[in-house]
Amino acid sequence: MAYFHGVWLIARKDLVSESRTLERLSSMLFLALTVLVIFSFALDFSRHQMADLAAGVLWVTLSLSAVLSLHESFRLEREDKALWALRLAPLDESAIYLGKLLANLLLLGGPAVLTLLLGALFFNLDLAPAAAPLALVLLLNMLGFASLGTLFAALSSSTRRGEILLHLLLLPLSIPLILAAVRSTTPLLLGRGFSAITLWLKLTVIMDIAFVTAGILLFEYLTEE
Amino acid sequence: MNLALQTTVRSICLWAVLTLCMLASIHGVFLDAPRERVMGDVQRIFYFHFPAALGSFLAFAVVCFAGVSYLCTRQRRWDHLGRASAEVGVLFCTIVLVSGPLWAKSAWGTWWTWEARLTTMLVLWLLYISYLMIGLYTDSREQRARAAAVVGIVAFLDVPIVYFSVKWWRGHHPIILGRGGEGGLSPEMWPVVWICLVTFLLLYGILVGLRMSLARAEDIVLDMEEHLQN
Amino acid sequence: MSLNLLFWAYTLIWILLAGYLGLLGLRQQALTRRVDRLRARLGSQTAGKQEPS
Repeated sequence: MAYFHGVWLIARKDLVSESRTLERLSSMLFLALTVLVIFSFALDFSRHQMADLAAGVLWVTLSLSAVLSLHESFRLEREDKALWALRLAPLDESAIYLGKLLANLLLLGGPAVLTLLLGALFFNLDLAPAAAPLALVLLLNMLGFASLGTLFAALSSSTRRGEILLHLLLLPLSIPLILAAVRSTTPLLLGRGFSAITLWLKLTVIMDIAFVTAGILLFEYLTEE
Repeated sequence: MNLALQTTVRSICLWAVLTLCMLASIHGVFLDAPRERVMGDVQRIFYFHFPAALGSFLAFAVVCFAGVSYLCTRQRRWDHLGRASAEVGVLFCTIVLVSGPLWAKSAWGTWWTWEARLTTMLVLWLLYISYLMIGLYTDSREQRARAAAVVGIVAFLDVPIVYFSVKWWRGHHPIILGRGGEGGLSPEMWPVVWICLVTFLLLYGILVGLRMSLARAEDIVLDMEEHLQN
Repeated sequence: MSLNLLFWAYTLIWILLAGYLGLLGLRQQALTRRVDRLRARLGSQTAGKQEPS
């Protein structure tokens, strides 16, 4: 119980500090909006099967803007060596990871929902009938993305040119996640039922379990000084 | 002196064995192996394509193992092994990616198809190139070693995931192992496949050994340079 | 056509393998140069101090 309280405290700390500046939320949302606009110019949505393209566009947008936000997740901890203090706290290293993960999930999820709505607006999609399964897809895929992202953000923030490193590591590793996300979003946008995507959802859940476990086990090695 | 001599003799022996194996494989591939009924001579690409693919999987498994060992023991030689193995794995992966399309051109009529195994190989290639680039963006050797170990483990965890996700996405590749089907090998082809497998295993070992000794030497030189600076 | 593809496949494989060996050779050369520099520096240092530690 104390463990989960610690997790929550760390997540809350991140959320509070974010609420003071709204830096990460606004920059992620701005990047997502820009990428969506660029895609709308680049692809002619009046001529193609909209739903087919939209899922791909949305997930590329989401993953690119999520990397940006994730890199910031450990910046404050590193700047004043706050991570040292955090590691001195009577908490297991994995609790820090889970707390950070929870905060990242919420900080990525918020803009992701808004991006999805913006995408629906731009591409004339009707999300209402598939709202619940879409939310589930978004949650599961963002969890996978955030679990890898939190792990490698701990590394990237400790190096001078870490932002490039985070892109280099996170994007190739999350190719199957993005693939699964696109594959499970497309049928939903086309109005097909939940049963069309169960295979991809299962795969996503397996990925989530694998990546979160890897994060819990390996996080401590990336926070060493 | 004696040790140096021993090392030289051993490496000469290894290279000699490798050369013999390589010659035997080439002989097998071009002269012994029967002409494939459906695909013709192009099928002979398979004899190097398949061992290279298996070799790269072996290499990436070794990277993962080396990563775990490094994190547990913190001995530099595991880091050397990991990086050496990843490099050779990427080399083998490149061989697969180069020979695959050449074969696909005649078998399927296009250079590149987003077919499950070829795509998996491409994703693995990207993954392990990013692994090799870690060194460029980290500040110290110790940090690089830790990061590489973690990435090596997570990347290997990603291998089956990538494979299954791509497989469910697309798929038509001749099934060589398991069920027979049209891509199956005739019995006379198997000896050649085995010779090529042994050759690639030996090649893997020798290249990793070379790369590891280079990494060790680099480490020693860096140690000395740092020592002189202080 | 078919033999052409076969030829190129194996040629490219040899080129890749040779290229990697060449790369290792280049790295080895760079390392040798660094060792030489190190040796030169070490030589001048000990010559200046007059006492090897």
